[in-house]
Amino acid sequence: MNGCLPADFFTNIAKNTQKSMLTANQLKYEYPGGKGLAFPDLNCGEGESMLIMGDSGSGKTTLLHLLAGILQPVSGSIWLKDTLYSSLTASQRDNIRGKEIGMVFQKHLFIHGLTVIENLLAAQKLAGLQPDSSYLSDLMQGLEIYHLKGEKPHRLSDGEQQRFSIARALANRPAYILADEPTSSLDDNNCRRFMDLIRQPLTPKPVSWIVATHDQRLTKHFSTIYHLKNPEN
Amino acid sequence: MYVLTLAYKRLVSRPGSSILSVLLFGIGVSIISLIVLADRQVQQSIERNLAGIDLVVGAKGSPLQLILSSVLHADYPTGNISMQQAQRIAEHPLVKKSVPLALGDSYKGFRIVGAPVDYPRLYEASVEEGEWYEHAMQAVLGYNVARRTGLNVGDTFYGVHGFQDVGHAHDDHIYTVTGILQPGAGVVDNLILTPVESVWKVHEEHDHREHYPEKEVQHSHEKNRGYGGAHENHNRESSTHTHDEHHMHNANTDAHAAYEQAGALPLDESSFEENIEQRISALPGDDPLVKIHEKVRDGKDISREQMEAYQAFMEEGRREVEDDREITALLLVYRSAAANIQIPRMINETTHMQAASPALEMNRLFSLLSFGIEVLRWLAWIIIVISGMNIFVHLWNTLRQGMHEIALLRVLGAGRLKVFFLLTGQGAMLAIAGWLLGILLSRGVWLLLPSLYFMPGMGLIAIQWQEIMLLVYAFFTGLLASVIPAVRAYKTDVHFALKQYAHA
Repeated sequence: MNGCLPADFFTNIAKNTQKSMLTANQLKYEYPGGKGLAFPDLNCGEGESMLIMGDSGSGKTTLLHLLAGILQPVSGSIWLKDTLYSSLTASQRDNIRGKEIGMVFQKHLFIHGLTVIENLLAAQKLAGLQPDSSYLSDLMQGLEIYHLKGEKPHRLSDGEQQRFSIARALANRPAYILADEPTSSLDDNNCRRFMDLIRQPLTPKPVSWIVATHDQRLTKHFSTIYHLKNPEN
Repeated sequence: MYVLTLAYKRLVSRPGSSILSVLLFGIGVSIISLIVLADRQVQQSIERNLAGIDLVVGAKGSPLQLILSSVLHADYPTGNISMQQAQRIAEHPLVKKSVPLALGDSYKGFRIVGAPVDYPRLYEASVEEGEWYEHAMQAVLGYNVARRTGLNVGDTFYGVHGFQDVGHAHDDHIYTVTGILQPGAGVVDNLILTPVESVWKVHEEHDHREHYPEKEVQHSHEKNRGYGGAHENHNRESSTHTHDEHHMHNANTDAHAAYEQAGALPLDESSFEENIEQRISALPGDDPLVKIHEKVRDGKDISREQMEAYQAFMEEGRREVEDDREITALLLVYRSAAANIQIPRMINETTHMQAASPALEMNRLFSLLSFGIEVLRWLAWIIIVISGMNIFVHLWNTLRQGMHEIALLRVLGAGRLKVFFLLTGQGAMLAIAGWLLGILLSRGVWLLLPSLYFMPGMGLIAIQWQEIMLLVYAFFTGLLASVIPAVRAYKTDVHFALKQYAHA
């Protein structure tokens, strides 16, 4: 059911690669309606974080989905470490995404019928990884949601759901987390709190956050910022 | 495999719709399953209970009723027939075996059947404990009767008139249990067997009183005085019999001897002797027969003429006792298939009795029932199709409301196929759960029903091959119902679903 890659495929790549990276070159995407988008080249080393700024309609979400392998560009290339996305089959891309990329959304998403801990385990299992409860316990403790592990996520408060979303994004020890407008519905306090959380060393190896937002409050926290321009009609 | 866990969790998280789907499916399955069980039970028990009986001779009325009452012991008898007339049928050369049955009483709802031991032997019944009856007022209990009533060998009981729990109690005629049968003898499991004479004895007091009113007191029949005529057996023409009429029967002596040879009827010796004594004492003291009787009683020699006269006298008594006798039905086993054409026609055209073929009547009954069963079967399939649609609607709605959840699964690394199997898994699970519920329901009804209708328990029945087929159908119905939602999930545009969710 999981792609055809051997389980140690990516770790091998990581070992063999001097500097692992997520890079995008000359990306172009075209919506079914014909509206085209071109994106600036992008380079994100392991452990680096970056901000993608742009107004709504500038294609932030589209860019994130291209980087996550959810969408396919009409031209250009995306490399995750040593792997060229366009050389992969759809199910291989699903597999890579599950293992290497975590995602955080503005509006929290979870599997309705599962508890917090079951949701986290689901992330591991769906990616074809061995469930690792002790790591998840540490993660939940670090994010102060351990006491909620048996709750259904929809019963959690906004702040708790936010932390739960971060925990799920980190569940598979991904190299990259793609966050889409994670703070736009938060007040200043919670926004600061979010930034504190993602800078916390929650995982043994450093994680790169690529945050797409129009929230100006975040700019001061990132040294690398990409600006997306609205497409000219 | 995790997909199945997830499918299960998704269903459980929407208990309302899921329970409704399972329940609807279960009802459809349980109806079909019950039809299968009933069909099996009926076929088996009918086949078992027909026990090779080719024809049943009984009083005129509904032939089906005759078969139901005297073969399956499930309805009221049509009435009584004369033993004498029945015997003439039994003598027919095409008849291999004949078994008279006398019904009418019951004990705690179990029917008391007066019949020779030949009757239970038709069912290959054998005594588990004790022994077969030999004399009147002895009884052998079917296995279920013994189990339910708790009667043991040596215990006594008395019957009540009719087949209900309550009725006129024949408490002056006590039966003694001599044996208990092994289980598995079909309908006999639920019967109390006794010689035909017992049934006669219990019911014949009244006749004696009419026959011999002057002897009534000596014969200590006082107890029964208040109870004449409540019994159909009592309204007989024979109550007007005179000795003259009986003399006329001598013309039939040959026939009589013939059926004596055929080894037919065991006479109740006590009422026979009673009859001889009564008739001797009714004769004037100087009648030669009185002297012969005394000689015979004292073991003295008598001449050939005297012997012939005495035999004729005895024969007359025997007839007299027999002529009164009525039975409920006579079961026949043919010697050859040719009897099929001759005997029923003979009986229906030349006697006041009717002949009914168990096989024919059962076929008739089934053809009457089969329409109803067919309708029920269609109804069940319609329910199953509707429950299939219900599963579809259930899955479709959950999917529509939760495209973002499918998108999330995809984001977390689940491939398209996995998502497809998730949905079909949900459909199949609902259908299989419905099947399971249906099977449990049908078994529950099957166990409960007999106690509601005072039928013998039928016990748990293993899953039938038709029910396994039903599981296969259920599985495919579940898959079919979930294919469209599954394809929809398979084609989920993750990007679009996530965007839509973010802006909803």
